[in-house]
Parts: sequence; structure tokens; C-alpha cells
Amino acid sequence: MEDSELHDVIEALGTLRGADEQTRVGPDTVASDLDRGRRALIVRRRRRTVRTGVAAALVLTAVTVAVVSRPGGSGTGVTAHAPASASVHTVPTVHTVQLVAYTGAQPTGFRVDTVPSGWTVSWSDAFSFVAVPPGTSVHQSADDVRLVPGISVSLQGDAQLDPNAAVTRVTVHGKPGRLALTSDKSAKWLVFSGTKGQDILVQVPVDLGLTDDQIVRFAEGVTATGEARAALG
Amino acid sequence: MSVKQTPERDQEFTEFVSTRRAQLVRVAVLLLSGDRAGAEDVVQTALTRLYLAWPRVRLTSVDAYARRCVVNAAIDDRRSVFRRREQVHAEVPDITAVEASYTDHTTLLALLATLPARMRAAVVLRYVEGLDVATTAEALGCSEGTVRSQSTRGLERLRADFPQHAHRFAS
Repeated sequence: MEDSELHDVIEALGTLRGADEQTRVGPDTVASDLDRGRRALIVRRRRRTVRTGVAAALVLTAVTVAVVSRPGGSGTGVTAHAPASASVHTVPTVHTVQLVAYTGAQPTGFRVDTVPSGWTVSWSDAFSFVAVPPGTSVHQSADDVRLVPGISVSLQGDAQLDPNAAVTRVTVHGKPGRLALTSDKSAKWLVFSGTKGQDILVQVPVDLGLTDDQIVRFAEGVTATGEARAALG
Repeated sequence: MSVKQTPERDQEFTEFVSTRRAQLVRVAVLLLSGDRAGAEDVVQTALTRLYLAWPRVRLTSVDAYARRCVVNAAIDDRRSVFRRREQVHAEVPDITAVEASYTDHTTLLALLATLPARMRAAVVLRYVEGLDVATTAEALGCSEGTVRSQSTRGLERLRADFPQHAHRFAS
């Protein structure tokens, strides 16, 4: 290659460096990028929730199989331990739920009037909030929000109930709602119309042991504010 | 009870986008041979990935990660970019595509478009963005030797077509 010709090509390419000076980034564009990122974060948290549920189910299955297949074992008096390497949340199962007025700080995108006694809101942003039972120790941070092991509330967005799940018709805020198990059977989803017309999704891990009626009564105390944003993707 | 927001990530991300987005769009436009709408898609995808990875990359090199996201989105995953566009973009793209001015740059973009995608990326990052070989290799996820090979071959191919257009760039 001739040096002069090479130089001409490189010089011409260099003129492209300032070719798009007219492109200016306005605050709306930046806000949209931020919004997309936050929505994607919510979607990832949802998927992580499902994966966590599947992992927990697999661990439970493994333990069950170990107990049942133990030579001569009937299960009675056998203490099952999860594998040491498994990371499993220990959450107090709720057998009796008494809804009480929620007196803590209200979530960002939602209003919650009642929570099971002793429960707290461990996380909230415009996309969701998470309420957890007393005694639950779970690290929540902006970079690592855990929807499990609590009840999470978000706008439905593009989330859909498992089409193969049995749907229980319920009434929330005087309007029809739908309650069904997720595809991995790890949680129940209640979808209902909020007072301002947004479709709200309440996710309740099965491990918490809440009945359908308790889930509905919790949902009755939930409304979405104008700040609530739906996760897409 | 503390209801935590995401102030640090959001503030830092906002600052980054405000100052770097135009540059990323410019690179994406070049990687996509002037396809400004496609470049907007690529950058949106890249910035979303960047936001998700922010806690991990904020302490190292956000610029390098963002650049690599743009390159990957533009080269390796173009089909998924279009699929994601269908799924995510419920609204009109945020930036109105600026009408391309048919200048000499149009010809340059046309010449770049004749190069294979990764070769074009090597040429763009080395000779338009002015990155060194090591940084370009990091952005492309390949060895420095590959960058040298790709960029040299790219220049040779551009040179082959360049003379017939050279008068357009004469000062």
C-alpha cells in the first residue's frame, strides 16, 4: 500500500469523528434511557424470582427423594438437611395472618394500607415494592433487590399469567381479579385492576403459606399512584 | 423503615448518558453504515445493558464497557436488536432521526459499508475514534493481533475504492 494513499484514507476517516455534532442529548432522552434501564432491572428481578423458586423446588425435591429412598427409611424420625452448598432462605411460614394498618413510609409508586401484622416494606421504587414477614433477613439494595421471600407488588406490565394454570376468579376493589400459580408453582400471582385503572400484579411465594383469601385481602389495601411505572421487556 | 431508592446508580448513569450518549450514537451510526435509526436501537440496547451492569462496571471502566456493548449490539446480535425493538419500544424512538446530509461523509459511510462488520468496527474504532490497538481489542473482544490484521485489511480494501472518490475529500 502506498503511504500517501494510506494517509489519505486515514485522514478521510478522521473527518467522520465530528460528523454528528448536531446530535444533542436532551433530558427527555436521558430520562428514557434511565427508564428503560430501570424497567429491565425489574424484569431481571422477576426472572431471578422464578429461578429462585425453581432452585428451591429442586432442592426440596432432592431432599424428598433422599428421605424416601433411604434404605429402610419410612421418613419418620428422619431429619432432612438441604445440601450444604445450597442457599435457601429461611422464612417463617404464615399460618395466621392478621392484617393491620400499615404505618411505615409509603412505597414510591404504590400505597399500601394494610399489611400482615409485623410485616415491613423492605424495598420500593416506582416499579415495585416488597413486603416481608417479621424475622426475615434479606439484604435489599438498589443493586440487588430480592422479591423473594416477601410479597412483591408491581404493575402488571407485560407479565401474563401462566396460560396453563388454573385461574381463580376473585374480586378486588369491587372489580374482577385473577389468581393463579406461576408456571414453576413457586408463587401465586394476583392480577387486578387498581383504582386508577392500572393493572396491578401481586406476587406471593407459596412458601409463605398465605391463603387465596389472605392474598386478596392484602391486595384490597394496595393502590398504585401516578408514580408507578410498568416494567416491560 | 427505610424505603431505598436507586439514587447513586441513577445519578451516575444519568451523568454518563448526558455526556457520552452522542458519542456512542456516532460510533453506532458508523458501525451500521449510516443507519441512524438502527444506531439508536443499538445504543438504547447498550445503555440498558450498561444500566444493569452498572454496579459491576462503575468502578472500572464504564466507557470501555459501554463501547463494547455498542459494538456487540451492532455486530454480534443484530437480529436480537430488531427483536428487542419490537418488544420494548412501545413509544416512538426518543431521538428524531436527523436527516442525513448527503455530503462527503455519505460517500465515506458507503465505502465503510462494503467492509465486513468486524473489519469495519476495527477500522472505525482505530481510525475514526482514534483508539489504540489495545483499547480496540478490548471493545471487540479479540486479540490485538486480530485488530491489527482487521484494521490493516480494512484500510487496504478502502484504499482500493478510495481513489475514485478522492476528489470528494480534496481540500
